[in-house]
Amino acid sequence: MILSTRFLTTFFGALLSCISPSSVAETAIKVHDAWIREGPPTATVLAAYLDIENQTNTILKLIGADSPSFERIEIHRTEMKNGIARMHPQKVITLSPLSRMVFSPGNYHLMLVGPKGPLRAGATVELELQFEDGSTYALTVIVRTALAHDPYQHKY
Amino acid sequence: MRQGNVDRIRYNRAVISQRSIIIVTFLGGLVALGLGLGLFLSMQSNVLRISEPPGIKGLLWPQPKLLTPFTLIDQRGNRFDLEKLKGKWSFVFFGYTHCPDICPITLAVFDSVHNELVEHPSSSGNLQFIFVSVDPERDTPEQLGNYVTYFNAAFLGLSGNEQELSGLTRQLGILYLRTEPDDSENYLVDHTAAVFLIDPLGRLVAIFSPPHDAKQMATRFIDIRDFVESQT
Repeated sequence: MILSTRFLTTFFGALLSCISPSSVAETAIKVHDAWIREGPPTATVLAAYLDIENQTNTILKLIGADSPSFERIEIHRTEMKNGIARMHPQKVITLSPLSRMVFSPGNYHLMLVGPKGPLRAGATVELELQFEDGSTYALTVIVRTALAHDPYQHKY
Repeated sequence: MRQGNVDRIRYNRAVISQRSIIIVTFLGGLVALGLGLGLFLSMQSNVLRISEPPGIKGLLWPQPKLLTPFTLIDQRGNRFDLEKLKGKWSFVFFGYTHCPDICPITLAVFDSVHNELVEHPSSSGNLQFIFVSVDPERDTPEQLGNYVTYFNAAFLGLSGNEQELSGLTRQLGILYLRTEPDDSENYLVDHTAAVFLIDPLGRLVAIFSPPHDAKQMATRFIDIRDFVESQT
């Protein structure tokens, strides 16, 4: 199965690069429900969640993300094994043709390291997704709180 | 040719009826076995019901674990030891403030559980929500204070050096492991993600496994509290 998937990836990749190299560079993706979890004012890391839709007939490989609002961004997955939460950095996220990949709390997420300023609920952040073929996708992500109250109202 | 067909039909019928008998016997056996098993299980659960209420997931009964002394400090620098657990129901979670996903998720769940229980008609108010740092090197009491009180002003953030920390983690079976630091000296900590419920007598009475759901945790807590109070 893995072998055949690899074969298909290579095969279609090669095929596409022969036929129409430009179609690879134009990343036809759509991002739904992107949000960043608001954190404490002293938070050194935050997480972004999103739902990426690959609208092309080819496999797309997400290899990174960048934002002027953070020092750097890493792709991670929280895995629960024997009751232990473990974060696994992901080098590549393979987006199958015409499929959706959901980054959600407790699972895949973008780890946003070193916020350059306070980010309160309602704020927006510019973010760029980077793909293996060199293409990028720019999006605006909103900061939301998962709390019922506004912690910034009284305290900070 | 015609005779051959009739023979074949007769033969087929014989085979079918033989098969039917086997199948019916087999099914009958299964039903009998099922009835027997059901009866056995219902008798068993009648026996168990005396000490263990059915359906409360994570409840450690009839053998809750009596905690032994430990010493940590809270976010204000005050000593927090076993005595501070007595007289209150405590929800305890272990994590670290550089944790982007599971710790904020769980602390947001704690906030919802807190709100749910404070508003609950049977609430007695003797609740505390505790976040214990398993990253003593980076989590100072001040950093912890800023972190936990963001989620809820009433939450406690405990820390201590490795030795002090092990005084509590060992007896609860908490595991934590630092990952290799990256180029910028950042590291992650793998850690137990369960929530531990300690009763007012300082006994570990339940462990809630992830993923955590606030409504479910609050409901389970009320069931557990009512049961434990009825037993003591």
